[in-house]
Amino acid sequence: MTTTPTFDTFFQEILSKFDGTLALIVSDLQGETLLKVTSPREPELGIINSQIASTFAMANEQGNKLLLGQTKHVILFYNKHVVCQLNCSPLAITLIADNKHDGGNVGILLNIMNKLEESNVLSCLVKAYNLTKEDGDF
Amino acid sequence: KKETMEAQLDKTLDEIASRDGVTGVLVSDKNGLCLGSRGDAFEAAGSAQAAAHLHAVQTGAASLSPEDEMPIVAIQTTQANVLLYNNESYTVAVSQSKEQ
Repeated sequence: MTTTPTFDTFFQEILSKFDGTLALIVSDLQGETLLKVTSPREPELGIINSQIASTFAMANEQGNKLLLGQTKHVILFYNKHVVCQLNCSPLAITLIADNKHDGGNVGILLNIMNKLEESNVLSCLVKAYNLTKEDGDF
Repeated sequence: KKETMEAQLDKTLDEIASRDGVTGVLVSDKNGLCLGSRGDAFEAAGSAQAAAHLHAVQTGAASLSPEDEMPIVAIQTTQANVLLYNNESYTVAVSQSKEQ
């Protein structure tokens, strides 16, 4: 029996492929979380809350006021985690990884973000989001 | 003339890259971000991607024996031999052609 691939399974595969990655969140730039996937290693990741999406939305808005162009990525270093957030308007992708001994692999997170941007997945997500917005169901 | 802060790093990379048989050298920081690279050994993958993956390999190798010092990792491919050296702050990768 084959299972229909979903965004969940796709992002789950990404988390399992790259050591150290803990969670992936898709949200919109208004701060609404659309999709959340966590690694089986830490399914109840404490850092994830509703504020992650809204905080990035705010940071993105403020960053644009620097008049240095559109915000592309935001990278946040915490004691135990490193967070990479990608602006793919109207959506935002947040990737969370381990930052053990201050050595969280940000390079891998940026690689994942670049691969997602190059792939069709993000454009499909954006299309789906725009459709639901038009329908007014969201 | 003021020396840029990466002048010493550039000089070291140039020196390593000029040695016989060395096809590429790359330095990444402790977060897998590329600090500098020379040669075309890592150009196929891109320096930024290579830095991230090499750092991940080094971290993985170190986790096999956490109580030991940082290991030196040797990767043999069909095209090259790559040596990885790591200290707490950075990872150095040197690629040598197979003929050496």
